[in-house]
Amino acid sequence: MLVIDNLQVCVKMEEGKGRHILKGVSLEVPAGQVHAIMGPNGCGKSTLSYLLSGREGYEIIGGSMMFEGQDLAGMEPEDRAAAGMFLSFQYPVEIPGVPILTFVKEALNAQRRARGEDETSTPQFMKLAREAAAQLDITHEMLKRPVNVDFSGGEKKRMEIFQALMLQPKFLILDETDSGLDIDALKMVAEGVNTLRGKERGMLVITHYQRLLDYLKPDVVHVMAAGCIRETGGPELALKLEEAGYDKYAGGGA
Amino acid sequence: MGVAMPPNAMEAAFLAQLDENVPAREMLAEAGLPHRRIEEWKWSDLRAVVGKLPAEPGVLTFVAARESDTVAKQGQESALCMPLLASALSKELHIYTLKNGETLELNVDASAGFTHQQLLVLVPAGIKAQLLEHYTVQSCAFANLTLTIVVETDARLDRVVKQDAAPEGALVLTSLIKLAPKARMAQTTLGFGARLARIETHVSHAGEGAQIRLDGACVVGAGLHLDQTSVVCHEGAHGQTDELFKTVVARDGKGVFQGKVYVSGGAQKTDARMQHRGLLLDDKAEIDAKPELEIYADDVVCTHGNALGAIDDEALFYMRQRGLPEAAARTLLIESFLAEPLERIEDEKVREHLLALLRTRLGVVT
Amino acid sequence: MPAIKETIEDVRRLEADKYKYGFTTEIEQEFGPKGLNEETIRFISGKKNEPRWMLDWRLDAYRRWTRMAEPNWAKVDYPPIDYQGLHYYAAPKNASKYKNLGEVPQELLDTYKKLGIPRKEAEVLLGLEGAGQSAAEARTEALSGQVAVDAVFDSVSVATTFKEELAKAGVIFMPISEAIHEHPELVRKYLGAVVPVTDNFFATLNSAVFSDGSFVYVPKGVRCPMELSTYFRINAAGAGQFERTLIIADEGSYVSYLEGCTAPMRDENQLHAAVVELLAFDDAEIKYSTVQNWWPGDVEGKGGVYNFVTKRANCHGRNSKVSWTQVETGSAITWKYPSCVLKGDNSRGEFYSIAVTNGRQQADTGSKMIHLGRNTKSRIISKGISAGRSDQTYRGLVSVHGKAEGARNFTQCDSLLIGDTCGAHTVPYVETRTPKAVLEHEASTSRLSEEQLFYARQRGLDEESAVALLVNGFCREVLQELPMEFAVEAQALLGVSLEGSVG
Repeated sequence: MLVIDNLQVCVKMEEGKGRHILKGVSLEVPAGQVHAIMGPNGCGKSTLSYLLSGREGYEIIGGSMMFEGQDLAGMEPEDRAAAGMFLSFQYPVEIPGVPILTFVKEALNAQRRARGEDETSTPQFMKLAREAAAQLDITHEMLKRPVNVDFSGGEKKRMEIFQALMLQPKFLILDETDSGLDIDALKMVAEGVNTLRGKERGMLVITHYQRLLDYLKPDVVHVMAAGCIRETGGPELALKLEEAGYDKYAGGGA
Repeated sequence: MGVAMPPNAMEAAFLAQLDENVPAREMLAEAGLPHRRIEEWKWSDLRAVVGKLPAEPGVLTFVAARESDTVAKQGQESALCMPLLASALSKELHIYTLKNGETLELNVDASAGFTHQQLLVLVPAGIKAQLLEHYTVQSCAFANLTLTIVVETDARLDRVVKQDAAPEGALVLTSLIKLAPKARMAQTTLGFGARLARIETHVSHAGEGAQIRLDGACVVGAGLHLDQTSVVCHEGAHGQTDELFKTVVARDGKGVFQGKVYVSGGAQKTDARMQHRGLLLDDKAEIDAKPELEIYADDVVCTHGNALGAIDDEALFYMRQRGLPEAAARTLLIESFLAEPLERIEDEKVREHLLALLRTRLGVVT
Repeated sequence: MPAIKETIEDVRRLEADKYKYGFTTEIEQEFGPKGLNEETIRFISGKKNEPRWMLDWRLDAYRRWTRMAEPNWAKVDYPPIDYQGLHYYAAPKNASKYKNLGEVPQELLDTYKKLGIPRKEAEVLLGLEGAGQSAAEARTEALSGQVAVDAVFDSVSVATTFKEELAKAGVIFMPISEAIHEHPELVRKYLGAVVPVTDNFFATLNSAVFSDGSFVYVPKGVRCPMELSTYFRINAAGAGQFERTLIIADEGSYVSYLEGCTAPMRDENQLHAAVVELLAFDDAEIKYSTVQNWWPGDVEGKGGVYNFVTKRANCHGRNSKVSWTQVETGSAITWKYPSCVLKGDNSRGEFYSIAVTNGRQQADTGSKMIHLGRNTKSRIISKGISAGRSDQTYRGLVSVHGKAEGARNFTQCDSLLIGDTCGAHTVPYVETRTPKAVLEHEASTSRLSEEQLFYARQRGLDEESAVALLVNGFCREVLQELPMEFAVEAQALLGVSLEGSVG
């Protein structure tokens, strides 16, 4: 489903200079699987999520990233979204004045239009919204607020998963979705994510800690450090990391 | 501009001292002294006030901790009327070059009659210095003073301006401040007003990454008028401006706050914040305010706020409920209101001195 | 930052090239004499068979105007206006009555269509025989809510719909040219009562040469049963438009009035100098909404309307209330400060504004709130969006007089910059002479955030929709104040997609 092959990336800096941040990352997530990427801060995890979703400021200097046979590199963020790529942001941005439901409805219909599907009717949309909200313990009052405005860190993450439930993407990237969550919120978010698991859907879970993986139970765990995948294994790798830390990956070089 | 008015006695006296064809003369002959029909002076009618003061030369006494480093003849050009007059009508320009760690105290006293003076203060690159100014204006005096301050790269200047109440005098103190790249400056004014006092500060962020904190606490009592006007121009990128002005007006006093922040197209990443808060204590008190933004760059953070009102009744009640007499509670509230800008002074001795001065004067005014 | 740059380009295209109202109507025009002198004024007055007092009023205004100077304090820059090179009167020939739809020039019908006025209603507007009776029918067929419409086409008011139904409620809504004949006592008493003849250069000019506009009188205790609406349209080349609107809400009455403005694309500049006077008595309320989309000129600043407007309300009565809501996207030059004189105790004034400038547009706009009575309240919410090479200034005055104990004002001015070649300025004046008033002012300047744009795009919105959504969010507090009929048009004008189902 998602095939990343020897991807090398620079961060664009001022005056045309660049900083090498991904140094040949290869990774394949087939449909139906959940992969986790773990690694110390600054190893390039978040860069990967931005790169897959099409944020500006990066320059691909080698390798490729293919999503369902399409090369992501040349696609606009909204085209990737319509193709089914959803990023749950590490720091969801506040958008004052725009009610969350308006936003999701606009986004859903834009995606459906781009895929040549009919728009969702308002009653149908509201039904879905109520169901998704109930699952994540999101109140009616919260749904009336502007996008991410006046939400706590945990509420923001819940709203990200709410949007994923509404948009039903083919592929989810969860970028440090566990940060800022207490244990109850973590459980709730994980349950929301688990309902999205399915044969047709792939997931990439980016995290620093093991605890989210207790609930999500990834099929494969990758360890990333200094811009490279350093080790790949089963769920047990995550447990090992939790005990031993990232020290053994410290220092550069693949 | 427009209809030429016959000069009043003060203007006539100035014109008599000015040579033909100097710009100051042309400006004065054409527009007169600043008056309420000039946009920048609409709330401070200088012409009307000084027109009633004796149009004779007075004496300006300078008490400085040391001699000036240089005395120059020629003043500087300015598009502003009052600095232009100060330059044309004062005999000499005193220049101080501050030394690292120096605290320069300037005590300026204007006797009856009119006086004009220009000063230039240079703060060389990399040094840190303090400038403490104290202005007294005697009865029937009109003092027009211009200070030009240049803060060079990486230098830091802390400036404090004290202005004593002058019920029968007028004062225009114009400061023209230029900040070189990464220069830092903090200015705090504690003013008590005059028949008309205008403390006008122009700041140019000429270089990148300069910072200024521009604060003022004003207490205006019966029959007095104090105008705090500032214009901050951001020309260089990454500049920072932080302004906090407080005005308290009692009896039939009048407080004026005009603050303008200008951000040119090249001054990206400017961070400019301006706050003015005013407290009116009595029925005849007046506060006029104009916080202004003029912005031509998009990647900036610029805000201003202005709030005017009376003492918070709830706070007053709360304090009285805890046993403070009303008068004491009021004074305490006013004092803490005005203390906020003064508390931002870094030097503890100077800060305590100003706070003490505020406390003693406040009792008299309110 | 390429995304922002692209967006800026998009917005530029969106605003400057898609001016759908920039069509002219190819119909024969009757012009008054070119230039301005007493003869012109007599001509205009004569065309309308005005009574002597009206002509004298105009002539008095004209003579005063000749001694006045054009104001220059606003932050707008334009070449001198040649007041002698303009026509001060233009009217569609034979616009008065048509027997049936077949006789109406197709161009005129198309005009109404493009203005968004339904066909049935247009028939009424055009004064088709028998159309008056079909008003109710037109309403039920064409409109979701009731809106009575007066259309001013260049200098003449074409027709007023729903006259009869309004008459039943006792509401007078007609062209001011008719009101001068039918209700001279009201017009004589109130014309110039809020905006005096000599108020300012442009208002005085309007007093001398105004050609038409709307007149509304809502009697005591009447809640006007429908929204009243006027479409103003400049069509003729080289003609100025000077409409005059007078709305009187008597004790305990309520009226909501909508005003829409468009003009065709032309290379030369068109002058528009209107005066609107509102008068609210005890417990009366007037809601005045404007969507102004005069031709802004092309991207290079060629052509466009010069819009110099004086709008003022006198909240004369106790507990009276006036609220101004405006969405300003058009005009090359805007000079406009809808104001409230809060004279009655407990009276209330509101100003909600969205102003968008793009291309080479210049706008200097804001509000004045003059607090005279006790416990008077005012609120100013201004949202300015500058793009392209435009320049926009909020200029406002809040003045609290000594007797206005208990007065309160809250002002919020937010500016949004799209691109680094435009300007956004805020110039609020605040004056207070009583300690028993509370005044608050806040202003901020920000830009369209790259982060927000990316977030919206990640969820599938294309850039144009994302920008529209963000701008909509920025303006939300004001959009909420617009009557439903206008909110739709306003949002479309902003290039904004619509609000969802929960709000």
